Amino acid sequence: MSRLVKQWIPILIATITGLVVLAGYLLPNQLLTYYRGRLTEWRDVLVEWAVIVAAFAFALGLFNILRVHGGRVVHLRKGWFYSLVLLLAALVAWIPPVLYGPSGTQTQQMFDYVIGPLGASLAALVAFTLALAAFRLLRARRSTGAVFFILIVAVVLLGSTPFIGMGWLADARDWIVNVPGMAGGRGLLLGAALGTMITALRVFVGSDRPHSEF
Amino acid sequence: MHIEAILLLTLSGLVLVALLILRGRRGPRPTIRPLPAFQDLRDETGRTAERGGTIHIALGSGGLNGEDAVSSLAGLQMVEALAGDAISCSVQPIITVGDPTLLPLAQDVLRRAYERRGLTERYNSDQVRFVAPSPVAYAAGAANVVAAEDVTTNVMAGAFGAEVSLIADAGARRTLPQLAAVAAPCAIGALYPTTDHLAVGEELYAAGAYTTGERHYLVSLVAQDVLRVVLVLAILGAAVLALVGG
Amino acid sequence: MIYCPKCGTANRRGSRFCNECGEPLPMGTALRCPMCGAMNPVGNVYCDQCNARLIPMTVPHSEEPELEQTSIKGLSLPTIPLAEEREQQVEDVTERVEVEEGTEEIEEDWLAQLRASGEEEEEEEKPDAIAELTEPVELPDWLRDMGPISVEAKATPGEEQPATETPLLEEETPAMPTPTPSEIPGWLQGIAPPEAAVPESAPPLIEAAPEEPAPEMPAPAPAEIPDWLQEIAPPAAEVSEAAPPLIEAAPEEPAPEMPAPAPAEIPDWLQEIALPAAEVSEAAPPLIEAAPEEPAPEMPTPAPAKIPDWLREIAPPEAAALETAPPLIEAAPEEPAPEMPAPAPAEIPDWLQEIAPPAAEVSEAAPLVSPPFVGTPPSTVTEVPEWLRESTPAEETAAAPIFEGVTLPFPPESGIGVAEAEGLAQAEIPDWLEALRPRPEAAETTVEEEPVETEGPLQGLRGVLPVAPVIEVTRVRESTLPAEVSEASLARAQLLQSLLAQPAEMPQPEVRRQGISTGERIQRWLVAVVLLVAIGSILILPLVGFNAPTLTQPTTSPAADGRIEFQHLMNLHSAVQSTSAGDTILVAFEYGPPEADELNLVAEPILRHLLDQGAHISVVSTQPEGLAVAAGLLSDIVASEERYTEEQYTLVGYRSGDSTGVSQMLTNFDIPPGGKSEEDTRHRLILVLTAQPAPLRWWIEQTRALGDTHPVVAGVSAALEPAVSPYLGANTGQLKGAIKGLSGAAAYEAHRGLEGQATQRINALAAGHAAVVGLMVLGAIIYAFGGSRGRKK
Repeated sequence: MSRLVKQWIPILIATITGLVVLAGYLLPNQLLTYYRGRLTEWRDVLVEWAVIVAAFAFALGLFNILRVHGGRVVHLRKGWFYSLVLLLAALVAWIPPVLYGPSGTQTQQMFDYVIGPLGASLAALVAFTLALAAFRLLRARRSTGAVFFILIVAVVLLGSTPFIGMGWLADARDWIVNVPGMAGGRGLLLGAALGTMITALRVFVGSDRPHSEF
Repeated sequence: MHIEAILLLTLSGLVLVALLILRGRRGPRPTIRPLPAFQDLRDETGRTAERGGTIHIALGSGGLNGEDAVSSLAGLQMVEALAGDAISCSVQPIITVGDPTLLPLAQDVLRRAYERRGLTERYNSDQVRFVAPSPVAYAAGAANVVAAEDVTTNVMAGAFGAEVSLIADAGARRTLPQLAAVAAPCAIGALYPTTDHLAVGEELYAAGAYTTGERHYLVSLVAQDVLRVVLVLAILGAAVLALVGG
Repeated sequence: MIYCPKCGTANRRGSRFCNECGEPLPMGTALRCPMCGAMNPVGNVYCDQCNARLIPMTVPHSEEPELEQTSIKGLSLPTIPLAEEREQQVEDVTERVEVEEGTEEIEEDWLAQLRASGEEEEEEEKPDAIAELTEPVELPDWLRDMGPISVEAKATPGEEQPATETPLLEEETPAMPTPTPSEIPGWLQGIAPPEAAVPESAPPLIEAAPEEPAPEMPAPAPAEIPDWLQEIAPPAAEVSEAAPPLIEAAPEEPAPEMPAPAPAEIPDWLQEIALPAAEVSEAAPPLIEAAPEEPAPEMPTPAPAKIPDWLREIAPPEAAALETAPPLIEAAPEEPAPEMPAPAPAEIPDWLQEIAPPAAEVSEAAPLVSPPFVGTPPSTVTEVPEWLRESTPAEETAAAPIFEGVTLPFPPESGIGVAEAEGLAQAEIPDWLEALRPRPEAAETTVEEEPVETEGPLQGLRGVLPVAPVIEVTRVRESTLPAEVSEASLARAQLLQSLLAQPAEMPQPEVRRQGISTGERIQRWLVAVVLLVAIGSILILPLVGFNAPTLTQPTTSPAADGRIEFQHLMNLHSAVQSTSAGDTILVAFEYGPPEADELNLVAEPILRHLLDQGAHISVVSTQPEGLAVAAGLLSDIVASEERYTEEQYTLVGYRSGDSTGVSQMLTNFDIPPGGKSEEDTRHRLILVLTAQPAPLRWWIEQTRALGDTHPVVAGVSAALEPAVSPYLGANTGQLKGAIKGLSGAAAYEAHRGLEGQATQRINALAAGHAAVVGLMVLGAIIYAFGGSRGRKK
């Protein structure tokens, strides 16, 4: 296959697919009822295909996990024991849904008593790391911004809960969250949205080709 | 009908295409303002080689089938540049992903980086690892990679939430130089106290231009700047109209 | 520097007139670079400033093999081009020299040039071949007396640069300093005083700029001539005017006339060799021929009366005139060397007898480095002196050829017994060098043994590299040099060999893992303990019978509270309150186990409210774990109250695809059994429970896109408050109501008059918040006034 074909076919596929899905979302109902209906169907079909591909991608991820951790166990590399535990846990977690179905009682119990607490523990660890990071903030960044950061965090945290006798903190917290906080957050989101749009358009016009080696 | 979205998309597309045509291949190279987050990024790779070790690049829990796809692509652009520098310095990068749809693409980017330098035989697909589909589980697994393996530089670029603090904390425990490029406000707050270089918001999408320096990335940054100015003017105009109109 | 021919003052290079006397300085004293215009000494081939070639390369005239014209290696004497070549060279040089003032005549000042080039050599940094070759070689004093030697390249633009014009001639000869009396050996001091000037007409040994007159060389006083030389020196002889130079570089320039010195002036040794005027030919044979295609110039046969005894003994009496004298070193093998009759043994001095081979063994092409004085035809050596004999095999009368067609009186590998010559002490060779001396049995491949290349651009040449792939099997060369190897060298070689034998792996540097410092550990334990104590105490104390401290006081009347947070809460409450029994409520569980601890507490009061209303809950999700979380929560809620039944909720399913999945769920949503028809579901409600902004956005956008007018409410994490607030604005109306975080849930419960899980946990939450703030302030105080950065840049 010539390079021309190898280069341009993926670009055409990506561009046409993206335009079809986008048109299915954006075209007005009244303007092109017939075509929009068709476009909606095409869009749904393409999305279905993407979902199927994503599902098979999970299989790829599973194979990658088995390869990485299995190789570590087989060759007794550093951390092989934890890799062995991971593989055994995956095998054990695979058994109840296969035997009793995804909605089975045993599956639900495994979720409630194993997966749920593990997830909650990780979330608690996130809280701990955030607290630790706040504790060492001035060690990492000794600046006026860091001091300002500490003050804002303190006001928001203390104003989020109805402490007795600290009603004024709640008002301050509301102002911080709804005015500068929201404005900054919206600005970040708008900029990120612009970047997202430009990056996606770059893929549409073929300037950026992450799917191709050319 | 999302007329506003259509208008914005159309305008963005026209601006980008026009700039690509005019400045895409010839003419003066677009200049961009320096970003502190990316200034020392490529030098870190060299220092990583000197220290002996590897560079860890975390691409987040975003995949290619969601709205985090573009954030993940932006992170892959950084992988393209950093991996190339690392390979040139005989450093084997480790890339962790939190979505299986990103796995083959990340492997392909890394493999191409090896091929460009004629070191295809050194490429190992195990360098790209799928950790877990859940964001918090992914962060815990990536933190383990940072803590347990010989990582000397930690880079986080892509779709993250507050759980990225786990990865950053693992790097901070070992006092590793860390760089992060994230778009979510939650992740920014979590990374601010722990990273040396932090790129926020749309700076994530500028990572490709700063790290690779390729022309079409620079041109798209210019297009982004143009649209940002248009958007700001539109917002200000709408605010003024709202004030005037009551 | 340029020396004035009149007063001898040294002038700067490129000067036109003498600074002292105003004498016009000869123009041909420097070369102007065609590229940068800088002035260079005449002997330069490359510009000193820009390194451009001053003398362009020339194309060979003939197709004769280059070997014939290869340079002489290892010989310090310069070459003398043949007459025709000299003429051509002088022509070329004359054309190249720039005449700035338009002066057409270029005075010949070969001696000044020699001196000038000798001075310039000190200033030049660029080493030249001649300097490298000639500097180590100690020039004899008689040669030094002839003045500084300046050599000029002979090539002209567009013409061939003769290969025989050796690099010696292409580069500038070093300046020969005027030897001081102390430097002149005794045997030569009597011949020529060091300060004597060379007569203008005296031919130079190596003539580079024929247009420049040679400096005068004074005739040595008879008293200065050593005894041994006086014995052999003839009486003052007439020096012919056209004494041929030993080495002539400018053929077309007639040799400057050398005035016949008075008999008292001419040293004996010189008188002996002075030729009669009638018998001197115009063209003297060169010592070293550079142009093989040109016949060797004739060398006049010295008159028998003037030939020194020692030379007379060599030269045959009847050889009055030699039409063609054999060159010392023949570069043109096709030219037959002129026969040189062997001198009578009786006439040959002892030292020369030792050199000269027997008469019968003299070959026609036996060259000889003749003594360097004028007019003496090179003679065939009949006997080899002892100092030469030691290095020369007896049966070899001709020296082993260094290169084809050229022979030297002694083989190069002989270890020339120069040191054994009279007056010279042999150098002490160190042991380590002795070990490297090549043994006689070492076989050497000469050029002649190499095959001749038969094709390609190197056709006809010998010794070219064979056509072989770049990567080939390494040939094991047998060592023919029995070098002595020390034990230390052997050990190092073995070590190297062992290193090379190791597999090719990238050396992995030893990575020193940075462990956690004690301070880091203390910090971690401090934070962990504070959080555990703060939160755990609130939760654990009631279990052990103690009353936990009450830190918070949730509002009981949110409606009266003006805070916007409670307004949103009220809106949600009213939306749920407006549902009736049988209404289908679509609840999207968009969170997983990590967020379940918080969001379950947020969702529980809303779900209880809905169940209290009798509505039917349909659970959907875009995440696979969402359904599992919902199942666990609803089962717990239903189990906690008897009035609740499991038929009040349905786990519809999980649909991936983010916003597309949401759209499909909204489109294909079916009323579950027992629910009201779509027409009656005007109070239908969509409740989104999420900790991420994206799923909330999907539901809001897709609901609007499908034209669904049903209200959307949300229960979100406290961290999502900034992202949710824009949707809750009065103008937008995209989100009717929402509660955020545990505090919102506690307020909801308080508004309903219930004390649920949220109310019980709010104190713990407040304690945790207070602990974090305290830690943060403590850390700020510690690191603001002390402590350094833990990470070294």
